[in-house]
Amino acid sequence: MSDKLFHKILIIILIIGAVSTAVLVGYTFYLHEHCSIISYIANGG
Amino acid sequence: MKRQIAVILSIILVFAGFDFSVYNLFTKRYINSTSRQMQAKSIELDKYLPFDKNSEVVRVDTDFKLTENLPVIDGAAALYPVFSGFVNAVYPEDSVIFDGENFAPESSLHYTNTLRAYKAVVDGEADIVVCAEPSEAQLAYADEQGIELEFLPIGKEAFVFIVNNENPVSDLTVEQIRGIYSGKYTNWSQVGGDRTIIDPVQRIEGSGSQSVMVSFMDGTPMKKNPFGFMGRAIGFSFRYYVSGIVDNGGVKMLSVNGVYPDKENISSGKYPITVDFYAVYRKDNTNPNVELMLDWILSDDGQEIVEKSGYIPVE
Repeated sequence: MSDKLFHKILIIILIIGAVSTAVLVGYTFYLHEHCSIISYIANGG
Repeated sequence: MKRQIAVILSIILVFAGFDFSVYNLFTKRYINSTSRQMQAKSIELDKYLPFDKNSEVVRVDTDFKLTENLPVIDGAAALYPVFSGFVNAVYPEDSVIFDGENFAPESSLHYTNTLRAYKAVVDGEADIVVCAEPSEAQLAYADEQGIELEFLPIGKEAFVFIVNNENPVSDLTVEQIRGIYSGKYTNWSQVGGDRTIIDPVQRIEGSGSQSVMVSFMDGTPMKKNPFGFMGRAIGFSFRYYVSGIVDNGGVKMLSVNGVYPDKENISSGKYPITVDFYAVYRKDNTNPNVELMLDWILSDDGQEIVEKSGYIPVE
């Protein structure tokens, strides 16, 4: 694998990883705002 | 080449591991198990809609009817079945306008929940609101506006504490509960449970149950546990909201001082934490039907609605 291709793959993986983590964290904050105490406790909290 | 593949796989694994941990520690705990309408309004309004043959609103025959100058009624989510029942018994059918999601401004029945209902009665947008006791901020708002509110007790309800069904703890004393919320006890093993961190959950300031909880703590400040997300939670609510309205199988109510919060123990006074709920109105309200309505709420017919809705009538 050439260095150029390796770097391209690294950048793509880092972007996908960062975006998916940001979406997950954002979704978690959204759920946190809308979750009731009862659902939170029923979910194992 | 092998080194490059190892680096790529390592980075993928780090991201996957991090996301997996976030999901398991946080995300899945916040997934709401109730319907969209419940999430938006804390209650499914159409389930207890007045004058709807499919609704579960309590139906009581009464000779007392109002046809004009109808007091606008509003209130708390947990008490919506009660004040919806009042409207169903006394008001004409065309006085309630429901658009499928909420009540129209010109409707005589509103639902804005405790947070906004206290503001509505102070601002004159509602004549009677059915709620638990107000928060200090809600009383201060009335003071600022120069409005004196009257609180007429119309029923009783148990204030209950809930934990996950799998939590081995089923009973706590009042002292233990206060200790948990004040930060004195931070692990379930200190109150008879397993070695797990306690996550004492609170509601937002101004909600009915949060105001009752502040009173219950009797001046002791409440603390949150920053590591609570790693443990098991305890929360609070009103009994009927947990057992009757939400009917969520994943939680259980705790006995307090060895007494379970069922209807018998609440009526007899054995359960130690019962609270009054009120019809709240402005002292300067000039609508003569407000007083008539309040008298009727305290009558046998009005109290029958309180009882059949799952609450305890006043003496």
